[in-house]
Amino acid sequence: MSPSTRINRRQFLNMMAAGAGALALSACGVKAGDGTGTTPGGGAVSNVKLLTAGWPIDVPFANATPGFQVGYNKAFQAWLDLNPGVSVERIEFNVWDTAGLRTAVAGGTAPFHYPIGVLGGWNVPGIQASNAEGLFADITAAFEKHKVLDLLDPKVAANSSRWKSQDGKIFGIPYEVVSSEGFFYNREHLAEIGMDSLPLNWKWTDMREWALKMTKGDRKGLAMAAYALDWILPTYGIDFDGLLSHYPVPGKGFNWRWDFTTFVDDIVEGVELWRAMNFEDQSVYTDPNFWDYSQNGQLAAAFYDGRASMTPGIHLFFSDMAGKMNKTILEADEFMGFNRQPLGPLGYTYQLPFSNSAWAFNPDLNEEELDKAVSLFTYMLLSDGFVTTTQEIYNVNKDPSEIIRAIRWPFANKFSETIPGVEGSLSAATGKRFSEAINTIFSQPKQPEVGEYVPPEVNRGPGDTPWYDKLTRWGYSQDPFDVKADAAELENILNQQAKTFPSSVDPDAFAAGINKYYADMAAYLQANAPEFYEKRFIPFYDLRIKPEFG
Amino acid sequence: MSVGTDVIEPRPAVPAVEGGRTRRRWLNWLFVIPAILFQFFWGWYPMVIAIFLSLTNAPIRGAVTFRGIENYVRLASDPLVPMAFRVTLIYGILSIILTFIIPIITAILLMEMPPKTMRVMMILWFLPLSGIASTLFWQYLYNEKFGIFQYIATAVLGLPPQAFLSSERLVLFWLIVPGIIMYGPGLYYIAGLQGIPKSYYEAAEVEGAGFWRKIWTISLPRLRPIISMTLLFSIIGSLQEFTFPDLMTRGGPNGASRTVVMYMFTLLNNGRIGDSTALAVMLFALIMVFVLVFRLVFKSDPDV
Repeated sequence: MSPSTRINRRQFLNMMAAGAGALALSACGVKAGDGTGTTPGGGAVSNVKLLTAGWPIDVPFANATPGFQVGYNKAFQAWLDLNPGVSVERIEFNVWDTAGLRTAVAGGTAPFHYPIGVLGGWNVPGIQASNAEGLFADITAAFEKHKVLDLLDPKVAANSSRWKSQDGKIFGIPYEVVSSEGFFYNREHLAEIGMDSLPLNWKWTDMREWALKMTKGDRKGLAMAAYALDWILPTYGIDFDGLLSHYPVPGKGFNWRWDFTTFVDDIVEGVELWRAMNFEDQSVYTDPNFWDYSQNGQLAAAFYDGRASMTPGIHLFFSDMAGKMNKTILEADEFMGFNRQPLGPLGYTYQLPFSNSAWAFNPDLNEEELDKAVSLFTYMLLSDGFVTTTQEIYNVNKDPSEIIRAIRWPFANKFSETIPGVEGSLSAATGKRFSEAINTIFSQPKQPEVGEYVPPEVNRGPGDTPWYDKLTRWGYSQDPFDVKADAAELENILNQQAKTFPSSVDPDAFAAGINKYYADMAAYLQANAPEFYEKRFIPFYDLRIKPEFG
Repeated sequence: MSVGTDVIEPRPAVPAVEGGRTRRRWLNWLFVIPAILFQFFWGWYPMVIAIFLSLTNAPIRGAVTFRGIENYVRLASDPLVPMAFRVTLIYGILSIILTFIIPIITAILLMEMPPKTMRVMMILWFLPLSGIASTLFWQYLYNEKFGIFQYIATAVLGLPPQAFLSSERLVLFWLIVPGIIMYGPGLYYIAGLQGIPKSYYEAAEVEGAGFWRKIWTISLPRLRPIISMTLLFSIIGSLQEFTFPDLMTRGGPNGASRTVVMYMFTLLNNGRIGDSTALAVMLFALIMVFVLVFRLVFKSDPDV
């Protein structure tokens, strides 16, 4: 997405992932702690003031779930008691506004914590580059002191490319586990066409067939945002930074170039598939101005009232969607299912099984302030404070599902299955079918990400604007157009732009990283998408990688 | 200065006191300084900084490195830059034609209506609408599948389905249509027309002037200062257009509605602050050219 005068699709996804909760929660207090305390022994203590923009740390928190606010405030006060001399103050600031946050970080007025992706473009290269630019504090010492790694779920701890630099420095703490985009589906509508659930390895052609079958009267089989082609084409390996459409060229200034012509027939096929669904089958509720596929948007609304059988989203929307439909979590589990996106025709998916939504810390904080900031964040979200909050919710409601309603499952900490003092399994409280689907999706093998292998590029290269230009034309334009000519034009625009950018990366380090990346990618594809590996990756590798890298 | 038979009494001579002049000078500065400070901090300073940043790497943090005209050279070879300028110019021209001229005609016609009717029409025309809410409303009106315009086009007029905002050729036109209704220079014109003495029109009628003659020789010349001002604002505003197309189309389809300011914002969000400010400076230069040409060719005083 990411629109490009605006956020793009990926940015939107992640903003929705993290921001949805912020919308649901509102703060009412403005200050906690007096900032002038003394230790119990009467000695002088630090005078630390942390500024928060309200989420996920607030003072205090308001939440509709009975017990949440009491529990949260109890936990918060306990942390303040353990840290005399620290005060936390609420400021009015929108951490989801990229330009605003960038200005605040530059000017030294940013809150103590903010989402990493907002400044890093939500992808590993962008996040690593933002860290190299000094936009995130180095919290390695505090991270180790508070043993944060031990508090994380093992799969979250192992997935560190969005909060740890290649040289081992820590610049963020994961807060939530986020699925890649997928589809929620109406189980009743699916049953009408003789299916119980959507299979994990479905393809876009399956999507077309089943959406058409579920289309009945005013009801559409699928509600879809304007990003449809940005979901379909990447499963062919074609994307702004797609595996087959984006290749390294070391030593020529900016290290990447684009190729949209070698596999242009795949682009044509993907475009025809989408336009057939939209214009011929009439099985899609969509519009070129439908950008919002959150649980609060018009697509979700069509899904809630039965006008659409499938709607896009990420798994974190589940509990909010249940609330929107006035259903309990378990009722929602009966009503709807969730599946990842369909695969491409050759079995490839560009999607990660999950990613971590991590938060960075203000680089202007001094060592002591960083220590307190990390301590507070960790306490409230990953350890004792989290337990206190959730226990209170359980004590008030005697139903672990209410915890899931308040805090999206699974958690980045180690309490996704059980919480001390809370009876029952959290995954069962989420709904057996939903939790099984999520566990299956999250346990899929993770493909290598190039940002994990090559040094961060501080000189930003071409943006994805030309790519989205073509997608809006191919997806919705009713003027005549030629996909092949457009693909050639797109390639020319991006390569022409790329030539004007320098690179900040050492060519040898880049080449070494690239060699390892493609070797690991080859191994991943051989194991997980063998047909795609044979028919697409090998020809691409021979054409673009072998001549340059041997 | 008074003319005619009025007698002007000479003022008593005031001794030239040095302290009085100094006090007057200080008072003058006192009144002017707030405006100067405001203009300095919100106008000149950002402009100078933008020009400076456009010649650097403009990092968010860390040392600023002078890069000369590198950012400008990069923009000069970026195919999206001339495309954005083209869109901006077309948008500006269309916008001025449709949202500038039509309100003049409407205002003149309103003045010809009976006072009660005119008041009702003015209320309808100048209803204070929320810009964002109106934009969202227009999005639904233009919706290709269930929008009311599509219904009118197909069910009422029997036309084939219209693409509206999905048409690269027509998207700018459809984007400007709401401005005809929502843009408010008509209020200025009506205020100007109401300020023209009725005796001018009565005298013209006595001389046998018809409707069009009165408009051409009285209304339009008397409106010229207002037209001059609103035209200038309209030129500047339309070349800086951002919010409405951004909300309606996000620059699509295929960049057909992406203005220069929208592209500038994209570059900013991509972390290319130096490029973004360089583009801002280029747009500033273009607007200055338009403004200078306008000031040379358009005389605002009807009596000149």
